[in-house]
Amino acid sequence: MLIRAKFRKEKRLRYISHLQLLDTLRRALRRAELPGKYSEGYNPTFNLSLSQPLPVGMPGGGEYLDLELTAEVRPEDFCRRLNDFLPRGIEILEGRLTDNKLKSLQAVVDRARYLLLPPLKDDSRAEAVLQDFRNKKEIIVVRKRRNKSDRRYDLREMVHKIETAADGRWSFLVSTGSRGNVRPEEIVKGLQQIDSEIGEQPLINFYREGLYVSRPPKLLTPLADEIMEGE
Amino acid sequence: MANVFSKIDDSLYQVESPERYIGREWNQIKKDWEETEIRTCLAFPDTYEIGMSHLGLKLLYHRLNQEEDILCERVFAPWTDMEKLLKKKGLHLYSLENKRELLDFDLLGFTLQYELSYTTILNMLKLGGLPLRSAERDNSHPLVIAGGATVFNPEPLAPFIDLFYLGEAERDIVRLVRRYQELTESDCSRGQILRELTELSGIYVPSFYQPVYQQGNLESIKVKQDVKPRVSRQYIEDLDQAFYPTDFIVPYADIVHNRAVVEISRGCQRGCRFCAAGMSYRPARERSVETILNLAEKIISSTGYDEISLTSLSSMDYSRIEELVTRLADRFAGQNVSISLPSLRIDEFSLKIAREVQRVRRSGLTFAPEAGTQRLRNIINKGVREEDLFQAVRSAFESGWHRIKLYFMLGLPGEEEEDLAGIARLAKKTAEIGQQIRRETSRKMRRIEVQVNVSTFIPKPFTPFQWFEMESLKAIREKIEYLQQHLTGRSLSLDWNDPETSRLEALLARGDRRLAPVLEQVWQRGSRLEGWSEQVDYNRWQQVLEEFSLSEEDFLAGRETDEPLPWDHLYAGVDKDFLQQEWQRASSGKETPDCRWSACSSCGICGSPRSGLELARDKEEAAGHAD
Repeated sequence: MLIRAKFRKEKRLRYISHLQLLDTLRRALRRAELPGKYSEGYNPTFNLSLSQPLPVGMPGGGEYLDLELTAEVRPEDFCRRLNDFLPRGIEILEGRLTDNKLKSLQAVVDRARYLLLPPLKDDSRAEAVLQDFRNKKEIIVVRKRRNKSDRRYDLREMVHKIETAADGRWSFLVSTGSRGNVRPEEIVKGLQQIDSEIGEQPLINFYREGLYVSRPPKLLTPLADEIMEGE
Repeated sequence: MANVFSKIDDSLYQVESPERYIGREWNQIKKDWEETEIRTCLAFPDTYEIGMSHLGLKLLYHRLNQEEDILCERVFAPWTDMEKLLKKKGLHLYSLENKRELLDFDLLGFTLQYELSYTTILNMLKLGGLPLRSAERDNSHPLVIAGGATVFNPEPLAPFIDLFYLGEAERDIVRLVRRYQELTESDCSRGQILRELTELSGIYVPSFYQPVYQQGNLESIKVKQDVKPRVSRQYIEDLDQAFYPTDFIVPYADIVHNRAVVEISRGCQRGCRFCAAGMSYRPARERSVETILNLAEKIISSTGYDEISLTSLSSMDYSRIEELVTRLADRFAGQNVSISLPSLRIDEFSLKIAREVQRVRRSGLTFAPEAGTQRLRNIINKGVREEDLFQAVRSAFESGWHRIKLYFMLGLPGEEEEDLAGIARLAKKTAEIGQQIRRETSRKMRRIEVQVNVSTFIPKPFTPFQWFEMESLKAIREKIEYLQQHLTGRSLSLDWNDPETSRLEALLARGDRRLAPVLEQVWQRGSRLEGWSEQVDYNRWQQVLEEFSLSEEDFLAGRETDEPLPWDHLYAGVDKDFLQQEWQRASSGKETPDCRWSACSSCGICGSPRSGLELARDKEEAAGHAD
């Protein structure tokens, strides 16, 4: 039995790292006395896995966790009980149980939607800049890699949807995960090629609205029926 | 200023480990600022990770917050990047709970954990917006107090701290805070308030005491007002009944001791003559097995930790240690909770206990023979025989441990070349024992490792060695070189603490008020966070000492037993006569056994011999469940 749950990590808690988040969730599960399954071996810990890490400082509204269970819990109870034992800033939003064999979150998730605070002083140019972005055949950006040579890649083909959100933020649906990954700062590099007035954007101007699974023509969440049925 | 945090929140991604500065951990206690009458803040002069591993800070935090009309918050030293950011934003250092500037509190309490944090204390005062010196502060500023392990010679900090609390502060901290609050509601000046506070036990107000120097030597300490000529350390008499929190804060960061910590006993009476804690935390007191089990259970369920650490100066001396670990292991069986014991004694019994608690993974064990020969171990009163060590390591290797760490000190009184040779010999023999067992065992065993760690001995106040000199840099370096040459071979490695850092630590441990302006100057030139090897600047200290016409030797040289000491007006619990007698016995190589299983050594702690000792075993026997 496995529970997959959606959660958000926001406010001050955006400053804790991926590993710290894992520890925080594990301890909260213990405090909540939820029936998580432990790994075998010298240091038994919960079989808990998370979706792609958020950069430290960036809040996320649609993150996911998978936890193996030793007993059934109603998803509503799981969320409510775990929330009672989590620090403010992390909140479990919904969950689903399954006995099916699921691909891991990091294997199945391949899209992320980032919202960026309007980076231009004159927001009336927003639509023009985004239209330019859409029209480009190719946007080459350079990725710095630690202990490795720089890599050049085409950003354009990994940005799948560009729009402005209702609140005016710029929204980018991009590839994420092992089959192609766009870093938020590379979106900014691409925008700067279109409009040189766009300055550096600190991480905290971004919000990762959600993580998704692409099943063209559909865009699914990891909790969608098609995904939870297993492979 | 209310809510400092909103001005810095969006910039924290620029600093390393931003989670140090956000608070909001599980079990944090954040009270309503406006509704709470008395506001206190505990300041730890090192980073969050170090401070949150310190038990004393947590005891006081929870003790103060237990009182409805008192709030107690925390602040740690910012790392250099955060200090820059605060300055760039024009912000003062703030507390983690309500994010208030240190200036906003009624009382600010620093933990004195080790001497190298003193420059950080000055830095935090400054970053908090407070005037540095006590004389420059008045009733509009928080009362600045300090206490902790190194409080028994606080003289280098005297001008900066309003009052020191000598001893175990969870005993009287609430009384002190309340009395202070009462006094601030009267028309008293800061000076009058401080004078009144000296009436409480354990309170040392340095401005009422004036050292007198003659030709560069301390001549006497003049008492300026009608205050006690000598201030005594306070301690908890009944540890079993004493306050102990169970709702510990659970840090996000992977701090040094991120686990459930249960203090099983306090104090140690083995009487190692180099050990400051062993002298100033007497007598040894224990919590009962029942109390410990209850505490452990509550801590585990409140925090979600999966490891329990039994802490004390010497866990193996806990009179019912075997019963305790067995019952703990049984109690938490099936809950995936492991148990760890930080301080192992060198004997077969300790190994048996270690096997009990570490049922699964066995990698490293640490033993501290401290000196390389029996003669020197007798001088320092470390009651360890060579046979005990060899038997313990044999037993450890046979039980599956493959890595043994051995701790030694250099620069002990009476040390000779044969003692250094002894260190090499013990280490080699240990490795040989391991290799032989590994060859002969049928089990799979990883490569034997024997890691020797040497540190420079520091003669500390209120120990029998307080009169002894600190070894010179040159001599320490030569000894380390000797060990480098002689400790070679398969399975052996050598590690040492930086001798310059030890000299600085000794300087501040043994220094007097003449060091205060030196401390201030060194800090002004950029010294802070000196517990971190990349931050400490030994040459800067030398230069500033010289500018004040002082030298390290003024403080590190040996002293005559009839010479006045900078800390003579303070009393850490053991009599000076006892320390002198121990110094004499050391000189003639005589051991002094622990009075718990031998004759009273008249250290001065108990009124009558052994009357103050309180062991879990005695208690239970008295209650009628003897074994």
